[in-house]
Amino acid sequence: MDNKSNIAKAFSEKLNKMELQPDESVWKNVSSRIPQSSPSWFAKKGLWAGGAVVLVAVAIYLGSVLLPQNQKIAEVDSHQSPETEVLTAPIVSDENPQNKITSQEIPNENSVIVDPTDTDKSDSDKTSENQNNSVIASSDVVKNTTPQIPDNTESSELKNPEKNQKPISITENSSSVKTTYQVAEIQDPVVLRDSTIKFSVNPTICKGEKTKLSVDGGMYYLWSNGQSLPYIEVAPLMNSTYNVTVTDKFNYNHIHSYVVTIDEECTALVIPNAFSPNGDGNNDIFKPEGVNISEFMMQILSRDGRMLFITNDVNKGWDGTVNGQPLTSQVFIYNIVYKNGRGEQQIRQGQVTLIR
Amino acid sequence: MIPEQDLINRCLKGEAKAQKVLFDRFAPKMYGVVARYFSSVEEAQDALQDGFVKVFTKLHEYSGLGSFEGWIRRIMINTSLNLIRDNLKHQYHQDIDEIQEFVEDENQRYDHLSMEDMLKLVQEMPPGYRTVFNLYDIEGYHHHEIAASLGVSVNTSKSQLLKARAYLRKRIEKLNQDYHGQ
Repeated sequence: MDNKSNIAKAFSEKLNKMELQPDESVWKNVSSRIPQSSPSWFAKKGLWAGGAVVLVAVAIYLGSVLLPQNQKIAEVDSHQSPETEVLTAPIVSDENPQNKITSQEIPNENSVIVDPTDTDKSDSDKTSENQNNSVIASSDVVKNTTPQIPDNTESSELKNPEKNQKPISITENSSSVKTTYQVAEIQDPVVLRDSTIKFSVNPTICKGEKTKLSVDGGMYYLWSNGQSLPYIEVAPLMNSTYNVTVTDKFNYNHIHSYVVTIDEECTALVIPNAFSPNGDGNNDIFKPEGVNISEFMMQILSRDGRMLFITNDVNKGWDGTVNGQPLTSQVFIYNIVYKNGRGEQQIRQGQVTLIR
Repeated sequence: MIPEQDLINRCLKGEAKAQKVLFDRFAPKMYGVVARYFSSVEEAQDALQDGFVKVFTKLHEYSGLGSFEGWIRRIMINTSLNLIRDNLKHQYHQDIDEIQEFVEDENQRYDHLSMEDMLKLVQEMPPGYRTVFNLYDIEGYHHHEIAASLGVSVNTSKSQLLKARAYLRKRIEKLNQDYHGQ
């Protein structure tokens, strides 16, 4: 011991065994930045992308369907038919027995809000339908393209009938997906008439991809996998059925089955979460692997948001250099957009660790 | 209590639960380490956070030889040094001619100081003094190691240590006077 003074001894004795409890936020931040087998960070980020897609999809769909469908609903309602073709946003309003259709107000600046008087007009005056024809034609085109969005949240809506005591079955025949929804026994339809529950359509996904199943309009949700959020994210490897029990605000349960179909013809892009560009021939470049990938785009960003690498070539990986200068071990962020074997656009975001 | 090697293996597989257990096991000790290197809670927790991210992302580099806690501790200290290194460059750019001999006061006793008092005193030191004092007197690094990791000369490290101790003694003396003066 050369010159360890009293003061050093005193301080090191006490401070060396010091323990302090850090804030809980420290673990949260750490866990969001490290690779984990349960993809909690993806769920968070995925939600952003998913949420955006939902908004866009709903906006497009409402825009496409709201106007033309009013006519159909009106006919259905007036004939008391239990079967309908397609049901979307409109809800039944009891206050207006002459005109049963009002549009639902959606708090979205992009959404189309139909004035009740407008609907009234189209309901009674057949000539106004002709004026809408151009809208219908163009919106049909939009509708046919919507299934290309991976997070298919094209919403179909169940509407509780006014005086129908029997369970109803609603068949939706949009694009290639044909779905039958079963509604649970409705005990008091008079009370239930304002309760509106929307289920997302049954998705078909490539093997390894995630998809989101969502319900809108209930009070409580219980999924067959035990979750209780209004949506679940699932990545099944085989065709799977997920049940959800939705409790509405009148405390009635609605049971719905989702079927997730796996397209065996395509697989998801496999993105590694680390690479080691040390020239040993193992994992020297960061390159996602996939088959039948098209319209590929990959960006690599540093943690402070600087763009380091961008490519449109799925066969071209990143070697961990910028302008020929190798970077040190650290975590990078990737954004990858591509079309899978089904021609559906996929957005993948995540972190990759460079290890030297 | 899960055995350490088991815990490490499970963390290497990316098991979130195991990662949390490992964090909970070492975080209080490591926060105790990094807290000495920073004057604010925010900086210290940032360092702790960065340090643990490194622990988890570099876990495969842990050889299994030597103490695991010691390995984590070195990561924490290196992370802290990286964060404060920029500030230190200016701190140490002082005139080396200033070096004076400080008389070691071997009679002074420090038993009356609590852990909290000591932490506060260390945190309130100028960063240059604080870092060398922490590394030499508390962690037990050698001057040549400190010089290498801070990018300064061995003499700078030595002089900073003496100044740091003198500074601390002065502060404690002042504290004692204030205390007795009441």
